[in-house]
Amino acid sequence: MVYLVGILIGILIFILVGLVLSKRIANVEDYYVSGRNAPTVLITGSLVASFLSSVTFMGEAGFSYDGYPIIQLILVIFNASGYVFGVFLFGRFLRRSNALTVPEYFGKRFNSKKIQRAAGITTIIGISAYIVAVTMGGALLFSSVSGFSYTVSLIIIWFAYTSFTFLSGAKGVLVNDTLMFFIFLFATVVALPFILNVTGGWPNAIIEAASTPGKEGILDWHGIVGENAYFSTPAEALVWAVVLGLVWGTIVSVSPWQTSRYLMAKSEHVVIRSGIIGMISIMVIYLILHISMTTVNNINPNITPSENVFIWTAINVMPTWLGILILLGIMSAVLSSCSTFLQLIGNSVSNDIFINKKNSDMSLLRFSRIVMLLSSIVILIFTFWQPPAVMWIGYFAATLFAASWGPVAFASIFSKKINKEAAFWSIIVGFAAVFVCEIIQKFWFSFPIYFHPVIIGVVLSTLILFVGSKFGEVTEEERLFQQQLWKAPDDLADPKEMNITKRYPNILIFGGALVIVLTFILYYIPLNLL
Amino acid sequence: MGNLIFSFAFGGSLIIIGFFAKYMISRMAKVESADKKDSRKEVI
Repeated sequence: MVYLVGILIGILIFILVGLVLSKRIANVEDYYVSGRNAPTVLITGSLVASFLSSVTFMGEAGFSYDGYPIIQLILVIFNASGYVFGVFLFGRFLRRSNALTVPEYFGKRFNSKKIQRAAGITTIIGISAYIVAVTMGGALLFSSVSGFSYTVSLIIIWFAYTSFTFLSGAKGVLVNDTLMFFIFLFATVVALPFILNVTGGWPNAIIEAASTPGKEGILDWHGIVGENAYFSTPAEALVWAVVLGLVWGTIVSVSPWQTSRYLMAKSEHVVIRSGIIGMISIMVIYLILHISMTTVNNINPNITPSENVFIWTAINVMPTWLGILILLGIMSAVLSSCSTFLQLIGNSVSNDIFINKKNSDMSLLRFSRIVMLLSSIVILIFTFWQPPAVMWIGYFAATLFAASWGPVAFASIFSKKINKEAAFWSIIVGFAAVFVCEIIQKFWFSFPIYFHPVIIGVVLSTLILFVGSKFGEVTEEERLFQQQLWKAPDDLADPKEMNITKRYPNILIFGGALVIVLTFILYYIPLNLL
Repeated sequence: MGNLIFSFAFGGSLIIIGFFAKYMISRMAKVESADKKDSRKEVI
């Protein structure tokens, strides 16, 4: 009961924040991109909160508990690097376009409404599947904690994220995402010493976890390998981590739910600083989460389903206040992803599908709000219905963007030769290739990991881009817009701001040194030297 | 051996990306100051 009250109070606060901020929405720019004046803390909070979801704190935590913590951390190295590569190679240029949505950027870059619509439709299809899957996961989680039925839990979850997203748009999403980011960051970091303490203390917790009966090798870099394990050999585990890490790194660099945050940044300095802090935050959260979840094997190696390991720990092992915070943190991760996804769907429907710039600002704002509400109702109906295989669709829907948008996004900045036809077909073919390959995998046979559907999609999408650019012509509008993207905004030259930005890479360098020490003490010394 | 490499690689990746970010920012700053000089010349 006390856990339920804690979560409900948290949800009430998020709704109130949305209500208060809705009064500050004066025009479409406020609603779509928070007036383009968000500081580093809000952009970082929203980047990380919209990336992490129940998949992180349940699915991936369970995978660590089952036997694969370190190989997941190897994946995170490539995945999190996408934040820094993304801001330097795409995000900061995206912001210079002054678009309201990422599909609008593609439309402006290639002077083509057709491309804007194509990118908008891929956003709506891909993210709708993802939001239905995450909402269902959130409703099931809420139901298991509260004892309420699935339907009641679903309505509570849906109402929470719809209310503040509908009312306050990007402003509410940014502030709530940041609040939620701090809740789960605090919960994960503070949980570590408590979990280590009850699982045997340092270094015993690590030593004992490494030799869990039936899970020998759990803390080796490759995790449990062998005939009945998830991976047959260490090499297979490494290839899996590198390939999926690169796929997710590309998603972080170009996907709409990450890069759209840069459109809300106050300046290009904020974009760069947020990417840097985003990377280090993700790496620290994952390091602590995966190591601590592995040690739970010392007190209960039989939690089923294993994805409940963090929830089980919160309820059975932690002090009540920390248990509430952890459960609220997991729920926050669900709500923050859903609110960002809903915002993107609503924005894309009203801005990229029904492109209409002739209306007045107020009527556009009203139209955007109505579309947001209608989109959310459609999502609710789908989630009620619980479409079969939605979890599977949701999982691969996120990866669609790496193939569909990745090659076009980077080429739109660095290539003077690509044209609208090549870009259009590259988006379509990348999307279709992943979709078809995933269907083949689901119903017929599996591809080896190095032929992951996303890799096939990226190769085909790049090929189309290359061939299309050879034959088509670049128009004057496309050439001028690409040139314009390389013109630095005035605020970038501010020496005071530049000096602050120049210090940020030092956070990565010193943070990296600290993480090496932490990894060495927490993991390597107990496992190999004691 | 693999465990030792991981212990250094996880934090090490932050250091490498940190140097990459340093390089990119200093390049941006250089381009900026060159642009400024150019625009000053144009004014003169």
